[in-house]
Amino acid sequence: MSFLLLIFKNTFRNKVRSFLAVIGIAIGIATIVGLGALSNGIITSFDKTMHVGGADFSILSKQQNETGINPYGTSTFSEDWLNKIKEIQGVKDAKGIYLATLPVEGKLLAVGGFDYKDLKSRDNSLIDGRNISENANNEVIIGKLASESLNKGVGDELSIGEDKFEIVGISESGNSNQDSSIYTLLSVIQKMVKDEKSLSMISVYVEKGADIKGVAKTIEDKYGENISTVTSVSDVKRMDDLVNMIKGVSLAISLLAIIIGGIGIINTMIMTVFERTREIGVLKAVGWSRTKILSMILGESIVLTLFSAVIGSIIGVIVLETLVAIGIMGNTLNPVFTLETFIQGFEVAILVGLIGGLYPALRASKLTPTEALRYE
Amino acid sequence: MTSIIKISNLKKSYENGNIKALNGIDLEIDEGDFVSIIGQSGSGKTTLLNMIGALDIGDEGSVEVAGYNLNKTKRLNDFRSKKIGFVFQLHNLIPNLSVVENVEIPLYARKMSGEKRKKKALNLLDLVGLKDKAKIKPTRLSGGERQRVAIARALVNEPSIILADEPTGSLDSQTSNDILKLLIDLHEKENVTLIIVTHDLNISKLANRQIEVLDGKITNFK
Ligand SMILES: Nc1ncnc2c1ncn2[C@@H]1O[C@H](COP(=O)(O)OP(=O)(O)OP(=O)(O)O)[C@@H](O)[C@H]1O
Ligand SMILES: [Mg+2]
Repeated sequence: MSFLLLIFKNTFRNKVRSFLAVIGIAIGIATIVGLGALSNGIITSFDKTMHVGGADFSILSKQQNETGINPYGTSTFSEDWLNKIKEIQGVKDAKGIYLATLPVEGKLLAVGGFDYKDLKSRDNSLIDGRNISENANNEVIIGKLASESLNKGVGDELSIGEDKFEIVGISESGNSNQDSSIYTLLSVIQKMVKDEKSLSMISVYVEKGADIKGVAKTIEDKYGENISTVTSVSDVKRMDDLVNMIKGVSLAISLLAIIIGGIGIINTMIMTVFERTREIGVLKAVGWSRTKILSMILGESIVLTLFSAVIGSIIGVIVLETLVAIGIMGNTLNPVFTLETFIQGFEVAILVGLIGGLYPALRASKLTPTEALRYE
Repeated sequence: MTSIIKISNLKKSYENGNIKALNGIDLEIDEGDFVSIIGQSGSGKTTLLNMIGALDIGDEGSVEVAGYNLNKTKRLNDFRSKKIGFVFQLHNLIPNLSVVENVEIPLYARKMSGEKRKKKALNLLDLVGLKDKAKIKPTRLSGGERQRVAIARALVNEPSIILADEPTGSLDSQTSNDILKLLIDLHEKENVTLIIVTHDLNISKLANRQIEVLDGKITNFK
């Protein structure tokens, strides 16, 4: 039996008590993992919108950026900007996008108008049918989730506002935001909402090897009064605030978990040490050093919290995925679990184990053997 | 014969000096000897045994055991691990570990591979006649069997001295005899110094020498 196995066996000696301690910490860890995945989800979904079709960054109207990013809103700016942007050094191409929330078969859905080339570049997300043809003025592609909720497929007719369209393709990108949207050509939607010559967003592609941030800055410097460049979430104040708020809440919960979980672990481990006083006396009598006893008790504490981290991570994933599955989260927000979210949970768990286990472990290691052996 | 234990003027008190557990002990014990310690309850037998095994340190006097000066050395763990095997009245086995794992426990104080630990522990279980019960939990053993496991645990470090504090105190007389026989056999075969604390004069008589303790002093040593 290895020392590690000995620690494992000791940790789960009193099953009920270990279970209760594990649950307490696991809930904290689940919350940390869950919030981490949510803020990742927000960032990812936003990033996808801002980098549609592989764009390096996006341009929004100044007003829209300040009131908060609402890519499907109506705040627009003139199409003339497109040419001004294209002239900037380092810009390879710029494409206009028009986004609007419109009544589709009686439901309000996001409808996006894209440049033909933009649509072409998204060919590989088509799961059924074909792409929109170059000059078609009555063709749409709909996202898989939209197709499910509208119960329509390729070949079906789709009414948007007053106009009738034909569904030519179904797309799936995995981003629920995009998969709940309708896609058509830029000119078609501009005409439909009677807002020709306007754009909601410009996707910018820089020359190969050009510095993305540098190009964005050149644009900001030159036209910053009227338009804003967005390279990442942190460029958009309201999104940035939201993400920071979630991070703040997550930090607060981490701290709470450390304090509450730490107290729980101290309590559990003190009881363990208390109950095993004679046993610790025997360990000393057979030659175990203080450090050995310290590392055993601390080890048990860390095993307990690591186990909690595993359980907590599983709970976090199950709860979030369940919320998504039953539709409570709406379909715009998809949690994104990354290695970092779990690592954060495990870091907190180890910290709790160390902090909570230290005092009981020190107490155990300092017991005098005779006192410990006399203990009834 | 060289002496393995040399104690002079050892004093130990508790409760701020109100209880004088040991009140000037002078004692020399030869290597490989079998000694019994008798005396009334509270006379200081356990305290004396604990001093020899370095579980506690005296207030005054000197204790030298197996080449270690226990008043001075900083390597008490080392001493306990290498020189001493304790057998207590209550076996003090760890309930959630198997019999063989319990015997392995003292070896964690040494640098040793898990495999070697297990092999050594199994050898000792064989010696005390419990090899076939190696894998079960001590809770499923009889009192005598548990004490045998405790003896195997005390011996696994190959100590020079076995200190047994009323090792048969909680056993019936038949089992008690078996356990004593086992301890005495081991003492003879391995040439370990054996010191047994007991209330039982019949047991005490088996030893080569008897120490009688009263009020923290040795009143008779023959
Ligand atoms: N850690 C301690 N704290 C306070 N008093 C102690 C402690 N250890 C021993 N004593 C006291 O010292 C005296 C000697 O105790 P010791 O345990 O050595 O007696 P003993 O001869 O082993 O008795 P018994 O036969 O009952 O086991 C007793 O009065 C006991 O109460
Ligand atoms: Mg005693």
